Amino acid sequence: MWHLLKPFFQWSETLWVGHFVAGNTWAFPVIETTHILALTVMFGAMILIDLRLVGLGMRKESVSLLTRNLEPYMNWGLIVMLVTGFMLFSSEAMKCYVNDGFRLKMELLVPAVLFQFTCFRWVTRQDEARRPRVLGWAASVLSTVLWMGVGVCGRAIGFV
Amino acid sequence: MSLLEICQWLQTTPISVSIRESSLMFPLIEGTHLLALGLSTGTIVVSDLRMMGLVLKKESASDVLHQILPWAIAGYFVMVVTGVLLFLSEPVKCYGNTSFRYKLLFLLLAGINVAVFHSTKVYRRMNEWEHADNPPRAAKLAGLISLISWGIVIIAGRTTAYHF
Repeated sequence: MWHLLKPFFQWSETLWVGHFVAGNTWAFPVIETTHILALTVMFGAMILIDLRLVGLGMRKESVSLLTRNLEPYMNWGLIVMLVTGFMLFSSEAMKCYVNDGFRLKMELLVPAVLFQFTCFRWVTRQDEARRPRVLGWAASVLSTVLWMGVGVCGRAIGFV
Repeated sequence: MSLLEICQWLQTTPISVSIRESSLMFPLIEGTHLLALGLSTGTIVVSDLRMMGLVLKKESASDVLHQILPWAIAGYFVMVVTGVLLFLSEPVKCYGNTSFRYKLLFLLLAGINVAVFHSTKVYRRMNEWEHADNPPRAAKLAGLISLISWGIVIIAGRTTAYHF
């Protein structure tokens, strides 16, 4: 599956944005730092919802109220991460292609994004009194594990 | 003993040598540092925004703050432990690193901000304004200073790894 994507990696490296990032000393650090700032905002909002789903953290508020208030921060954090992430990626796409950390990160990121905007959305919008408790637990554990995996693998790209 | 000499001595300690010589230790500790950042600073951001009256506006300010705080502190503890270990692995490099100095400076500012805000009347009498549409100026200011100083801590932390 991975090798089928090779043309996409090759194409990404030809984009002007990649050339800009690769050719400018300050671009990579600045974009990478923005990526981490967005991570902080996204993780913070998400962790509070995840904790609440298992009855921890902000217990005085309902899941749906917390989600309504924090979801914009989660989503905007994610959007900024995806944009800055692609900019970083396009500056060294072929290096990423052969990097096991990057590969695992993508293998976790795709399910994480799909999950976040389908199942997670659905569970957090349900009526808490009627929702089986196991659903909340499953959504919380899955989203925490997937996104922590994405974060750790992202950190690993520079080391492997 | 000067600060540099202390750093040079730290660099020779067994813990410093073992983290530096292991290929797995540094990435693992740094990965943990990053996850703890999400838990600690991420939740601090939410409480700062509440102090500024920008998020969870209809929820009691003290409820929001006191429910978030234990998790922020837990994450902070992990960040400090992993951060100290990362520092110990290359103290001399950190000593000469401008970004690292900024990081410590703004960590200190974040700490002072908390200490000062917690000693104000506005904090002690939060029950008087916790449902107000518009938080008092001191609360807004404390939230803003916290947001900015943590933002700079993250920026400086990330740039510590680069050599400009």
